[in-house]
Amino acid sequence: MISPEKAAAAQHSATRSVFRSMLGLHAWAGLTLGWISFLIFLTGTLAYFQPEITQWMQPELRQPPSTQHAVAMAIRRLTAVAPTASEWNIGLPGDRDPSLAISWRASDSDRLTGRELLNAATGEPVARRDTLGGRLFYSFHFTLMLPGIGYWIVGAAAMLMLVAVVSGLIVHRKILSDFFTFRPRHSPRRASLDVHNVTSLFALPFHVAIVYTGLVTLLFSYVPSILETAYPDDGRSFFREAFEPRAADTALPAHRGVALADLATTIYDITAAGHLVADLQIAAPNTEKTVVTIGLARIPSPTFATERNASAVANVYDSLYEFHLGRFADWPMRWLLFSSGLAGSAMIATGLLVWSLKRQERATSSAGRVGCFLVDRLNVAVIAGVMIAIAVFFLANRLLPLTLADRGAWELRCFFWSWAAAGLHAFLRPLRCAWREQLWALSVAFVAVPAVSGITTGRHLIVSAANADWLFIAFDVASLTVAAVAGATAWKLTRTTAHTTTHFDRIAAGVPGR
Amino acid sequence: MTILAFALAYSGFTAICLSMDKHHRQVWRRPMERATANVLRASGFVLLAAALVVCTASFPGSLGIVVWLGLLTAAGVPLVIVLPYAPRAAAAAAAWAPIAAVAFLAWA
Repeated sequence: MISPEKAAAAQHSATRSVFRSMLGLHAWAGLTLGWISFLIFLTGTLAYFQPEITQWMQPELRQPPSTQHAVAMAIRRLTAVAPTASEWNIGLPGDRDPSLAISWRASDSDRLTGRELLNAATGEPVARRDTLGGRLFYSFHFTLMLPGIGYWIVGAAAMLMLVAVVSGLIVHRKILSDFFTFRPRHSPRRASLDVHNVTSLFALPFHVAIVYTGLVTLLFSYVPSILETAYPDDGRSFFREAFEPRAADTALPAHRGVALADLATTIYDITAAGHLVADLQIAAPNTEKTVVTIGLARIPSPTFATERNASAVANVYDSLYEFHLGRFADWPMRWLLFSSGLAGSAMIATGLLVWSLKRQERATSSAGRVGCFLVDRLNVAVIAGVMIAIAVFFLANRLLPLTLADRGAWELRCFFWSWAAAGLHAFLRPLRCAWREQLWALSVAFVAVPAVSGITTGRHLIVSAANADWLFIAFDVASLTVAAVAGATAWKLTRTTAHTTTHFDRIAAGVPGR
Repeated sequence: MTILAFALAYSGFTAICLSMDKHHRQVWRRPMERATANVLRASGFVLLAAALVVCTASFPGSLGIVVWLGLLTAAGVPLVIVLPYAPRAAAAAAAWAPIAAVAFLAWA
């Protein structure tokens, strides 16, 4: 018979062994594709503002003060360039897209004879610069810019992420008593672990939901065989059956036969009824018989898809898909999603740092040292490196000549080359210097972004504040915030090296402890 | 209404946080009565629940819960980060936030 002490001891060691194996699982599931996960989280977070980033990267275009103003500007321009046309078309700016496009048809032609893009605020024609815009972050988020194989890596990273989230909950022993704990004055490892815990726990529902729905968005790419077996035409008829009602539902009836005199009041009524005016078709302008057709668009409303489709399957899929894209989100909600995304990026970054700082204390064997070297340097190259590359991407958008052929591709080259340079630097310099120098570079680069943008476009912070240009204000303030955080961290690293050589400095300097 | 729910979530988390002895000491540098801790903890959960009520009342269907969870994240992380640097200010903000939110909503 086993004594109660022995049973308790056996129980204890079983718990310990579960704990230890979960800790190992958490460390390796988090580490293996951790850098990829960090990139996915960071670019995905930025992609919540994809159209806004594109707007910042095309500063020629301006949002009009009102729809009526945009219509007036378009008609003024059309009257000047095509007074005798038989038809005018006006594509109006949307909620998140400022482009005001006009086109016209001469009376003796049945095709469009001219088109222009206008600055919606001033009515002047503009040439829109060729840029990748926010699409860089959107595409990178799920393809890693690696056609054909990227989304498989992303899927694997997402699966490992789910494993890391669940095992992380199990290994966090003092989950309740440490719920609000952050000790910035303790060791770097302690502080990183606290930030890791806080950003994981407080945004836990977001992490689980976003990673899971992320896998769902690519569901049909990951498991195509079911579709291909049941629907031999590449699943096209499946998509028609499952998601058809969506298209029919989104079209709104156009207003036809509106007289030019009634245009302003009709637009006012449409906007008051909660719709957007998408485009205008003006037949026989500048004559007695002028008639206008007004095409409508729906203002995105904060609702899920649930009442839109006939099929429950389509409802579930749409809800998960639209949650992942934040398509339902209005401004406050979009910022909430963005801040949860930032928390997720910080969670992964600090998790990688903790792994690094913890192993540096114990690395004794040479095999361990090679692994630690790789992890340490990849942390710098990925976490600091990609953010420097993003700043360079924004700077390239402002500094590359507007007439440069293939300008968008050059922006992308600047992004990848600067990232490669940062990666090389991370591997060549001593670890602590690599961190410090890259954080300084990051800080300087993100001060340069609003500065260079202000000089080249004239839309600097004071002008933006005076015009209540919220998009540019937000972009500049966000850049300066990144610069401040990076600068403060770099300064702290510089100062602690100068004054003291503690155990942790030796570790951070790449010297194995003990 | 989102701003009120955010203020309630922030105050709720701060109350729960300050009901724990180590955080209470961080702000007031002295231990607290058992009764105080209980009152703080209970009012913290009531405030978080109030934030949920505000969210479900202002957003259709299950969306209210999504917004509430998002607000919990947005309110909790700054609290924990600011607390060690400015404990008094973080606590004072919790007392003023709901009042300021109501005042803002009345003015707007």
